[in-house]
Amino acid sequence: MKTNITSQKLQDILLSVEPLQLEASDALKQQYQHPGAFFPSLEGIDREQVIRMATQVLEYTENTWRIANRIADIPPMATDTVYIGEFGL
Amino acid sequence: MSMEAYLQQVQMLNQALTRDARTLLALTVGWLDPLTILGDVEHLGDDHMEEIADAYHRGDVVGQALYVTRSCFPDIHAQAISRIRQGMSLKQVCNFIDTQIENQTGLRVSDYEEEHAYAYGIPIEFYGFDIHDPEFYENHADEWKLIQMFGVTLPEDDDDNIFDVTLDEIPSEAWDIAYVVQWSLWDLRHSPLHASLMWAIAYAFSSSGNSSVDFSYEEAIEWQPLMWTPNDVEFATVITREAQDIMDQVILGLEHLKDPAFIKTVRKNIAIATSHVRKYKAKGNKVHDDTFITHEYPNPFKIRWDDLCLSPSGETEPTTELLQLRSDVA
Repeated sequence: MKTNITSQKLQDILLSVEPLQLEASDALKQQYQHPGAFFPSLEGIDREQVIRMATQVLEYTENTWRIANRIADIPPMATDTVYIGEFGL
Repeated sequence: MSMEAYLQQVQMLNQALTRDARTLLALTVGWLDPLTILGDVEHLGDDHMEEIADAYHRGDVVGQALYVTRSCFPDIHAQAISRIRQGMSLKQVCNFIDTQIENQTGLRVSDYEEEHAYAYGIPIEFYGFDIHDPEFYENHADEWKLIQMFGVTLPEDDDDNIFDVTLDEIPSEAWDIAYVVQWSLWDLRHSPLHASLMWAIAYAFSSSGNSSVDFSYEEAIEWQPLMWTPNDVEFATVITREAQDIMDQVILGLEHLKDPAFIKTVRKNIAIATSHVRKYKAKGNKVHDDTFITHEYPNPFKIRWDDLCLSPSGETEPTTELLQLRSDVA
């Protein structure tokens, strides 16, 4: 399938992606406000919050794994209209 | 350096690490889902975590438990990883996972006979019985008595044929009568006494609609088991919890069926149902056609159960020991 996307458009799309806010990252930063283990215990964290955090992180890791595999499977595409400066070096 | 100063420096270092987005992301994944990372890395310097990673990817008992929790119970998985970090033994971690899954779902995974509860699909308990089993009459004497109340008898003049009586030989009329009587109690299902009888009949004639109640283990092992996926776990949990509730009622009902006052009403209504079913079928009608008896119209013969009661001293309570015994012989 051919699309008329330009490298600039692709860059704009990638830059416009909102950063994913992981609740677990916020919780980890919160835990680091106090002295403790490098990987803090989950004791004392509400169970519902643990479910949300773990679910989100597991989904994130699964999704990134899938995306990485899909990107790796994209076949090479010959192009003579895109100039990449580094290749000329 | 004092311990306090050391801890402060560690704290500052931790805080500094979280200021970089990618480092924070790596720490977060390492905190809750380290197996994702460890799967691709051979040497991380932490032998214990490597052992867990090996087990996970090799698929042994610990690995299976972790694999299942990672797929279906993210919170239990995260807590199990946390406990491994705290130095808990793998055996203890497995016990923790078993207990947590049992609490959340009701599925019996800790005392699974095959030892590998996570290897062959979701283990579901099957309470049903096989009337072909030579020990049926001994192990399920209460159920057999109830079945007999619906007109099922042993072959005449040949006591040696007791083991030849099979479910296939139970007359279809008995099934129809049991079906009519069971459904005639449906609108009274919120009354404990009536519910106990309804579910006892449903259990004895394998017509509860719950596979765990209606089928025996020997029948169930012929099926493809439910797999450890979130959807199947949800389905298995519903079946299991419903089956446990039904079996509580069944135990009560079978106990009630030893009470003379209770039996008297049951016999009277079985006789009424028998009369109605015979007349109805004589006209060429079918009882089991999904339109004659429905949830909206469960008692077409208007069988009345107002007088169902226990003798003054005949009340019984369900016990977990009884349920266990019934489950063990099923």
